[in-house]
Amino acid sequence: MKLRPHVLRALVRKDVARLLRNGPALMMLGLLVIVAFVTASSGLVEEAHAAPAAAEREPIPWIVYWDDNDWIRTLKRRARGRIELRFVDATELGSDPYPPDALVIEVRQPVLDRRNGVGRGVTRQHIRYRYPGSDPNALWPVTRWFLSASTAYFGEIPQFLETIEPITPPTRAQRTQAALESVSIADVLSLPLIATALLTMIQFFGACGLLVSLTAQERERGTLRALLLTPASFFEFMFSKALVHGGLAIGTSALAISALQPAALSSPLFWTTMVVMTCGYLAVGTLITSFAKNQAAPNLLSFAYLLVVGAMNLLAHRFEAFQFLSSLSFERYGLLFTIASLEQATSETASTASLLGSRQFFMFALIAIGLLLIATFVGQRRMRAD
Amino acid sequence: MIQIDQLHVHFGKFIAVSGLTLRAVHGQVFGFLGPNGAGKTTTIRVLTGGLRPTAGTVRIAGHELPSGLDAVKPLCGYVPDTEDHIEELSGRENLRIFASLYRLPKQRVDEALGRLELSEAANLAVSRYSKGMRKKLLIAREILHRPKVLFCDEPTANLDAHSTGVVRRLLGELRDEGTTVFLTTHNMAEVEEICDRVAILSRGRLVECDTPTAFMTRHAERQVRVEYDVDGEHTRRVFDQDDPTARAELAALVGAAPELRVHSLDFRFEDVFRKLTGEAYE
Repeated sequence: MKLRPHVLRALVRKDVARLLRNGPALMMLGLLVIVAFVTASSGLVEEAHAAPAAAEREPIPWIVYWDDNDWIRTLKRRARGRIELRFVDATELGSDPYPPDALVIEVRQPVLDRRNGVGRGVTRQHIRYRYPGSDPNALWPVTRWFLSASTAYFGEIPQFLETIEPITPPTRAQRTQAALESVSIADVLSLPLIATALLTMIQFFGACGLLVSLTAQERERGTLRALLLTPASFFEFMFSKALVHGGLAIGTSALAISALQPAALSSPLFWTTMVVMTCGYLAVGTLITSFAKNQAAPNLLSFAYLLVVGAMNLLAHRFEAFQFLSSLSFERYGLLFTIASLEQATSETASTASLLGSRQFFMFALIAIGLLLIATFVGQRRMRAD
Repeated sequence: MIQIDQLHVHFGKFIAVSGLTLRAVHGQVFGFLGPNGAGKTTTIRVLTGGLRPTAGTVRIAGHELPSGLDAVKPLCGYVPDTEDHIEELSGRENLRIFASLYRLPKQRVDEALGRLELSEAANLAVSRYSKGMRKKLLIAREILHRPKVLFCDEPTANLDAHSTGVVRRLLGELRDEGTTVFLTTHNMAEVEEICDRVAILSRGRLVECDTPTAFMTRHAERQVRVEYDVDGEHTRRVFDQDDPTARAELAALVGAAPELRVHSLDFRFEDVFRKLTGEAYE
């Protein structure tokens, strides 16, 4: 498997030149970056960054626990001197314990997660968030600290069963008013979730979608065959595509995140997650291209892939017997670690080293890179026959 | 330069090539002919490493295929019958990429463009090229690295008369420079004009292999076409002058119908081809 610089240079130049002349592709990526900048210019980013100071003044958030275990004691230690929190044992609460302006995180007992009532369900730690008034985003600063600290404690991203309720149920008039007001995505989603969704789209499009489209075109036209008749090897051909499309996906992601969460750019967890996610999507793109001899097939195969991933996650969520499927999905790990890297970028309990060394991250990297190796092997067998 | 010994290529039960044995030396234009489905493209795919033979050996410049493909690739060029350019790029950019893969100087690109009379259109995107220009660009690309063996599949298809002349002249020049040109074509005039040696394939088997002159000497027929009127009805007949019976019949006709019009017919290579491949089907 030789990699000769002059061959890679020529092949990379070819792919870059083709990309630069692909108006629709550049428009799509540009649009995603513009969405990032528009979101950044909305109030969401300022709120997300300003909120911690406000939360630390008043009201002081509560953490109510039912079991004073090692986890809770660790949270108490981590909070000391960093964030003002009120830890309360649930047995000491009365019947109507919370003032109307309270921000509360209830660390309740583990429950069987049978949402949607299908299947036997999965046992999860139940966390209930309570917020004042009608704005759940007021919880954001304290939940960000709580999730970050819990992740550091468990050494992996915890899979809580999370529910959310207002302290005081809204009146009928308030419900009507809320329904009449226009709702934007910033009202219902936190910044890390929006950013993660954007980054996932950029990664999928740049490292998978474009790779599939342009390579299928080369197969259909016979250009691949012509290139493989030169001294260039198939491995160099695919490696150059990985460089170009991987670089495009990571570069565009960095551009988008520079608007939404600039602090993430200095996070090793963010960059490592982006690289591993890119490897995963490059693998998917290579596999799809291996089975697509013309340009019509990739669209169908890409759609089929998304359906399969969705089905895997649905089965894993509903049935304990299929829960193992979620541990085989690099996309799921990628989403979790992207959110974690964005949350931790401004968190005072940043612990990227522990996450990078976690079992979950090892599985994430193993699946993505393993898939890439398999895809390269399959691609070589199928595409060299052209 | 090219050695094919008892080549067999089977696709399941279908036999595409059966027992093909050929030799092509350097500095030669070798014509490879046959009706559609005869096995020409299959043979070329084996020679260019795109297909593994079922049996038999194939050697190019002493390297056996497919194991020696990496050693053979820099020595060969392949002009396919369909264009496979990078459409978004210009002709010059296409050639520069391939030149870079062979580590060739940029001057080679200008030289190749000049030989195929594409210099003026070099900076246009290939998507704007005509079919003839695309074909010429293909040839330009494959001669960049001055290959020892050039496989050409219908190199003058879709070319106008002038461009056809340019390409044929180029193939002759390549031959003179020592390149082995392995050519498939349906243009018999081209075979007669530039091929040094011709192999005719039919149903996967080699029918005959020799120089065009030898083919003509061995298979050409002397024929005349006679036209005359009988009872107001116009009649045409062809007589083989090498057949005594036909000659006698013609003599009798000349005696019986004095107002005859007689035309001698040229027997061309196309007629040899039709004769050989038609007989092979019987």
